[in-house]
Amino acid sequence: MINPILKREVTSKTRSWKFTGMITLYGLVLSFFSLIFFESINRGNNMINLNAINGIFISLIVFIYFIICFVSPALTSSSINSEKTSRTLDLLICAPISARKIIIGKILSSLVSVIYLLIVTMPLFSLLFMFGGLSILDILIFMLYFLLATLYYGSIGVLFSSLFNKIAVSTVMSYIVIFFLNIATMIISMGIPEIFNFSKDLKELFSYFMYLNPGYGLFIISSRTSSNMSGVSINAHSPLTGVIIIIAIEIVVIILLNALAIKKISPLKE
Amino acid sequence: MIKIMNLKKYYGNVKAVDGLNLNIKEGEIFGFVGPNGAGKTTTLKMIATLLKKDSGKILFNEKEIEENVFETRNVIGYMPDFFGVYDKLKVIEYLDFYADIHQVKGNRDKIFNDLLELVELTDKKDEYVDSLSRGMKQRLCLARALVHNPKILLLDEPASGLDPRARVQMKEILLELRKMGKTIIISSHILPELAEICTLIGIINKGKMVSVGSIEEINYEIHGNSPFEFRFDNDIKFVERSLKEMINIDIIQIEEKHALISATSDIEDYDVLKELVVKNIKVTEFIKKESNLEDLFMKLTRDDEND
Repeated sequence: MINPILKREVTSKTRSWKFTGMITLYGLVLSFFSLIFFESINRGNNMINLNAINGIFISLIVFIYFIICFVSPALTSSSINSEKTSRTLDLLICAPISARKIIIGKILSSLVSVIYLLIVTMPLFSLLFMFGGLSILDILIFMLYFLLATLYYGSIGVLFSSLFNKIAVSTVMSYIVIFFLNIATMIISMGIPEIFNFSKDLKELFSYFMYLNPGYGLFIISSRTSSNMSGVSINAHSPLTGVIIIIAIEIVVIILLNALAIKKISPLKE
Repeated sequence: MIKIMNLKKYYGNVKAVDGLNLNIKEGEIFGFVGPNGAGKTTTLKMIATLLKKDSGKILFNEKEIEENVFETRNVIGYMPDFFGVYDKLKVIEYLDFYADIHQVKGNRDKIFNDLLELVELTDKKDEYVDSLSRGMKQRLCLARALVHNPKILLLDEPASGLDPRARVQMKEILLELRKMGKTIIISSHILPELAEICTLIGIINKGKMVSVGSIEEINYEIHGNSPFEFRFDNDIKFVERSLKEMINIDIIQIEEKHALISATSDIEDYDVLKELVVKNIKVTEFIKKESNLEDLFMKLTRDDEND
């Protein structure tokens, strides 16, 4: 049976103007990308510009990742405290549904929203695929990685939503953490060692902070695709090892964050 | 069915529930009465497994509810004093959502139709929940609490904020549920209505159960036998002297043409009237004065305030 929380969230969400607006806006931005795409590949000499395809592809990946960074917490950082405010959470908790199912339902609903966005992106991906430089496997890897990033950021949003009663606080906290994961880790692992001229060993040590950054995983994967090589790494680990470590960290963090959120909303041991 | 033993719950240093004891049998309609902050909602929430108790026991069919959380949640239908509804859901979808959560089996259409008929919302089936009036939402929430056919209903101020018409509708539904044999624990401030519905009343104040029983039992506990009030057409001194001669009667108050007396033993009202007539008192009006729930509530909670 489908998780009832997921079913309800998706039903309510897809009926809202906010959701329709988000998909429409996203579609319009993608149309803009498509326009640039067609302009770039054909310069009037009937030659396809592969570099332009790569450039557009990387821009598209960065754009989708940027959207996920903003949309996932926006969808989840009010998921629990809004139910507390409207006093619907009590009605869920006193029913025979586990806190685990409630949290999973909330996170999966944010995943469904991102899946909608990815589906809207498919025609553009198909264009890139058609003109070369991108395989189905590449698209699949990106899709899976985006979904993992959605779960990661969604879990952060859900945890803060269960920790703080005020939606504004949980939303701000979620974005602060996401900012830390994406920007502060870059400053710590690359900026500080360069500024203070750290030794090679210390630089290597600091570079491991980047493993907390899901954007770095995306960077490794996209560098592999765009350069048709094994990818780029900023430390001694191979790109593949780097991606595996990042994915492992993300999975562990997702489990931990969700376990904390479950504990937070359960009044009694279930 | 539900046994509460020495139940305690603290919020910091504040004793919300302080050694509460209660025994509710199957089919009982228990009215939980008390001033704001007396501990009614906290107690209901602990029974509904929404709050962890600090000490004591809450047993459902002799089993501790905290050790059988899901079993308890399956047999309890809880309706809080204040609740929200989900936007963008229709009435039928709202019920279906909770039916999914409770994993309700069987013909759901029939279940929903019966419930909507009970709460008089059949014609609102396909309307969005957030478009309903307060009273309708309250009734829908009751239907939601009944969606899994629970044995026990916990209703926290079900009529609060409702207009008189909606309150009458709610009372009629509760009487219907009583006929269906549900065990109901209901907290309310609207005491006359509670008195009409409940088989047992519990008056709680400052986290402690001050009195439990039927209205008659609580009344007897406070006042002894109910007082008698009568009007007479005699000289007041003659009546006073005659009353003092009567062994079973105490004078509470006597004034020109009017007296309030109480029986010292369990004596029927017609025997009191007979004795008055025998004493040649010209009784023009005679009534056994019954205490209502409001009087008892005021008396019990005021005494506690004075302590």
